[in-house]
Amino acid sequence: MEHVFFRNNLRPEEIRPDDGIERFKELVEADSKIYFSEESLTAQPCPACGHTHFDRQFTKSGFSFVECQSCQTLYAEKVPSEADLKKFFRESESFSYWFKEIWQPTKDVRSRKMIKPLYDWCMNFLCDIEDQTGLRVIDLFPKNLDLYRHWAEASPKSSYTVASPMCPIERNVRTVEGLGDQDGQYDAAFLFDSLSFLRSPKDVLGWVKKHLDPKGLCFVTTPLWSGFELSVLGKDSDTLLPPERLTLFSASGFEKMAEAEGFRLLEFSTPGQLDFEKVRAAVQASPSQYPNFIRNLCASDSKDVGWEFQRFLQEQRMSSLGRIVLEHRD
Amino acid sequence: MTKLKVAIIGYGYMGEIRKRCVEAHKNMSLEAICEIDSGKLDEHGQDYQILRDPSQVIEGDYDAVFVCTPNKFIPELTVEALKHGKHVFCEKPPGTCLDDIVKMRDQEEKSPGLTLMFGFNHRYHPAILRAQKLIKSGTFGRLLWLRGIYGKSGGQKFGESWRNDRQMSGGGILLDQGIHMLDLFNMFTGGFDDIKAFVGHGYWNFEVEDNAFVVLKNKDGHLGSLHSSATLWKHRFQLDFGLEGAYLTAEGLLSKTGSYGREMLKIGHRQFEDEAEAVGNPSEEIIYFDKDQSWDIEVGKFAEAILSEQPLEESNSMDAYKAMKLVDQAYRDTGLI
Repeated sequence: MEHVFFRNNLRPEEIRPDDGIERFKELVEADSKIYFSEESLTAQPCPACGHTHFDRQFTKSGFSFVECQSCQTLYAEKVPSEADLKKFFRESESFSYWFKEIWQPTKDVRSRKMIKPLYDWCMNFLCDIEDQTGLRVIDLFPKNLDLYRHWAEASPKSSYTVASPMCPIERNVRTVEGLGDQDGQYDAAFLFDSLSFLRSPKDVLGWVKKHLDPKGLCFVTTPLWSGFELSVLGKDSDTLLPPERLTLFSASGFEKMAEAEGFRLLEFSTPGQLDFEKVRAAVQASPSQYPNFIRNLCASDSKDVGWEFQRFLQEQRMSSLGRIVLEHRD
Repeated sequence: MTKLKVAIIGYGYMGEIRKRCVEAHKNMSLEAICEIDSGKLDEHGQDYQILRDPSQVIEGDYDAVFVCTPNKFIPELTVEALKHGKHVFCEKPPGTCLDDIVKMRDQEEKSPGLTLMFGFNHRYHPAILRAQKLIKSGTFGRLLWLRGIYGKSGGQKFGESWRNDRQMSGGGILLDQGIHMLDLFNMFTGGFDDIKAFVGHGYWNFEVEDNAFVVLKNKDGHLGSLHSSATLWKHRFQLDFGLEGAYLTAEGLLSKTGSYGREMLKIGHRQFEDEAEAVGNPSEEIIYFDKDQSWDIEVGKFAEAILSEQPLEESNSMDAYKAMKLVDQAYRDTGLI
């Protein structure tokens, strides 16, 4: 198994303007009450390992979060129905605000610093297949079509299918229900930042396994509860905004889930670039909430401290962003 | 499927590695190890025969032979094994000089149906395999140049090693270790025509070189340079690739001791388009690898070629000849031969 260290000078404010994020958080809080009543939520075991014993952690936006005693994955004890989630992503004021006020103004920098590296990463693994016949790709549950558009331009030979209830229907964009059921029909499946809001990530991985070519690969990005930012900030982290995040896997929890669904891990990296900056911002806002070590780390005058610390987190797989490549185990 | 009956001649560092690979291979059965030093192998309680005379292997009932001896003995053992109808896997370097590999190739030609492979395992290290995949895909445009550094520190007992005895080895650090890098240069470019070289004996004062600097050029315009050294006090393997749209650096080697550092491949993209932010300091990705399967891959390829009766596409005698030819040209340029 391999893992990566990655650097491209991304700064938090480039993709998450402070004012916009604060307003977005307020709207999500309000929308959660509208779209997800207590009665509509149903209990679930740990989405990663299926274990039923947990430790209670906190409540956020009306969702009670617990930590699995077996694999230390954080998850919402009760989750909404798929129909309610779909409605929320399509109709809520908060997600409409996200697209207009956060996604749209930061689109260019996201394209350069997030989408292109995502494409490059996948192609590093897929380039030999691409070279011969073109790729059959399925992008599952994306919230926008940025990657699809970049891919179409960079790899015009690829057949790229988007299956997502959150995207506007365009050419090649389908509903998940509308997909064919032929085994081995894709060379690559993408699950970018989506497993954390799906009701049953295990079932989705099972579906992917069935529909991937035996030599095909599944690419995943997901926030990790075991990473530095989430470990330190916990409930206060902007990364944890339900219902967009209902499950935050631990690294070991994700590995267990992938292996149980018949995958082997080719890569498990944590190439996050923003852990330190996010923690520093939070510590500056309320220093007394954090232990001395964290305060001292964030108070350092040296510019290199943040950079070197983030590098350490990446190299030790301890950042809060997971990047994973899976292949059929058999 | 019938298992190939395998014997190993020479049970030093490489012999031990080959033993492990043969025992792990589903289509190979280790039948004998031949080692003249009786202190190296316990004769009792083994699943294979222990032999002391290489002729017992050459004349014995084996399908394939691994020749893991010092360089001087490689050509004769290989030629004899081929003459006796055995497939041969031979450690690098392929003998002590260019004539040795020529002799082995001559016998190979007279032995149709037999496989002759050479141990250039660096081809199968994960960072090299990934670099090869990326370069072959054309994603980053043409390959422009390569730059290699490969070296070790020697150590207190370095002077006692047969590797530094010209009669036994044929050459110094360039032939012993640098040949791996030259083989990789050939693999990535197809080969080189022009060579300039300098060698030194500055620290160890052996009759063979302890440092070599080699500069290469070919008709396709590829440029290469290699520093092969026995005076790098920190063990180092580094192979840089310059391409039109990116640079790659394969660095470190997964090895038994880990002394060459973590094996990684650094990928940096040319970034003219974003120079305001990244003047000569583009975004980079470093892939770390944690499993070296190079030994098993090459033994697997050897078995596959024998069992499928197909010619070897790589690490064959032509690749060995091309690598040895570069060493020969470098030595000639320096006046060593």
